[in-house]
Parts: sequence; C-alpha cells; structure tokens
Amino acid sequence: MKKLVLRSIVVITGIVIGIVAGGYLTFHRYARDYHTVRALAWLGIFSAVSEGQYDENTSDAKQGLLYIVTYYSQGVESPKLDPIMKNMMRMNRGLAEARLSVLENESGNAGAAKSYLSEAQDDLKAVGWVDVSEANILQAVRRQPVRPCNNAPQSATKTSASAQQKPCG
Amino acid sequence: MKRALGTFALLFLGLTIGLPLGIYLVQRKFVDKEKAIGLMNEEGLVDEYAKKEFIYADAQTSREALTYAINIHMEMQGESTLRGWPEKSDLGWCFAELSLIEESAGNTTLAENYMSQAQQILKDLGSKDSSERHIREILHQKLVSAQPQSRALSK
Repeated sequence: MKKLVLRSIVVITGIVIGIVAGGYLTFHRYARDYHTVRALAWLGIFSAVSEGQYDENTSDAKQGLLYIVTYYSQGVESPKLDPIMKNMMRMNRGLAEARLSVLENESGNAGAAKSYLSEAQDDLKAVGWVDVSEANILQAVRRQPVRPCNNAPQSATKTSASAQQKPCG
Repeated sequence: MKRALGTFALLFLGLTIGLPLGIYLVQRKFVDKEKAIGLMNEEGLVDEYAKKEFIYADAQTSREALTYAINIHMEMQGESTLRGWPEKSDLGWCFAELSLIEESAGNTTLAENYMSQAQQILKDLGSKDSSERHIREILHQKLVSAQPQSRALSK
C-alpha cells in the first residue's frame, strides 16, 4: 500500500513538473513571438477604460490617463515598433495629454493644463496634424455622451476601438 | 539501482502526461484569448488612428495611415478570430477615405478603384445605401462635425 502511494506521488510530481514546464515553454514562445500583440492587448483595454473614465468624468480619470500616457510613451520609444505604429502611439499620447489638460483646467490648475496642452500640441504636430490650435484639439477630445446600449448611435463610421468604450451585454 | 530507475520511469511517465497538458492549458486558457484580444485591438487602434489622421492630418500622413490600416485589416482577415462586422465595415470606410485623398491629389483612377472597393465591401455587409453619393455625404458630415474650420471642406 505504502509503495503504491509513493509511486503515485512520483507520478503526480512528474505531471505537475510537466504542466509547469509545458506552460512556461508555451508562454515564453508566445511572449517572444507576439510581443507587440501582447502589448496592444492591454493597451487597447487600458485606453478604452481611460477614455470611458474621462467621458464619464470619474474621480480616477486623471490617474487612468496618466497611466496610459506612460504606456504610450514606452511604445513611442520602443525600437521594436515600426514608424507608423509609433505615430499611432504618439497621436494617442497627444490625445491623452489633451484630456489631462481638460481635467486640470476643470480642477483649476491652469499651469498644469497649459503644460499638458503644449505637450499634446507637440505630439499631434509631429504626426501631421495641420491645425494644432487649442480649439481644434479640444474639439477632438470633447466628451462623448455615454448612452445605454439600446440607444447607442449606429454610426456607419464607428470604429471597433470606440465600440469597446461602451460594451453592450 | 533498479529502484532508482523505476522511480525515474514513473517521473518520466508523469512528465509525459503533464507536458502536453501544460501546453494545452496555457495555450487554450491564456495565449489564444490574449492573442485574439491583441489582434483585435491592433486592428482597432490602427483603424482609429487612420480615421483621426484623415480628419486632422495632412494628406500625405493620412494616406500613409490609411494604407497601413488597410494592410492591417487585410492581414487580420485570416488571423484574427474575433473579427466581425465592425472590422469589415472599418475596412470599407478606410477605402472610402483613401479614395477622397487620392481624388484631391488628382489620382482619379486610383480614387475610383478605392471607392469601388469601399462600395463593394459596404454592399456585401448589407448596407442599405452603398452608393458613392451616400458615402461621400457621410464622410463630408464626419469632416464637418469633427472640424468646423474651412479646411474640412477643402480636404
């Protein structure tokens, strides 16, 4: 009986080691080959959440936007991304900075608002925006009304990324 | 010696069972799901970037962004498992926007080609009105509502 138990323990130990090793190898290979896809998976989620927080003007909107600015900054500086992908990151960082500027302005921090707006203007100008005036940038980041799913506008040009902001069901 | 060999054989048996199980579990429970979300987000983020560039950026940058987005949309057709109606529609609108840019640059043949691809995609998706006039009208409204300046009309 004791012998059988010991043998079972050895087999189970082997199974556990096998599961850990197999899992690690699979994850390692995936993380190596799909580095950008992994980053974009989380970036898309964080980006949608921070935009949602901004649109709803929640108390943690600023924190979320600061986090997303840091995340985009890492992307802009990454040597693994191609130039257009970096431009995409830079444009989104600029828009996040513009949103931060709006929040700081609403909190009465005119200095910080101006600083964020200036950074946003630099980023957006770098990605080819023609009009980087304050009015135009604020127009681009104006808050979108959050509506119940049944009343959501069925815009033909609505993108999948913007659709993630208001998940239905 | 015989006992050690026996123990090793049992451990090896366990490893043989555990290794594929570990690969399967991580692949199915984590990798496949994160990869699907990543590919969908890549497509969505690139598309959103291209559409914003179309509205706010100069023609050359818009062209590059839209061409890149179209390529990503095409690549994802066979790769992304979460791809659906919205992504297909986004591809159609990318072609439509690129058509307007090429038209304003004087490349009429290219513009017509892109517009016909946009119409075909939207028609295949069951759009009620996939006529060129309707597509132009929607894009015009999009430009005007996002950017009240005169540049929107001249683009």
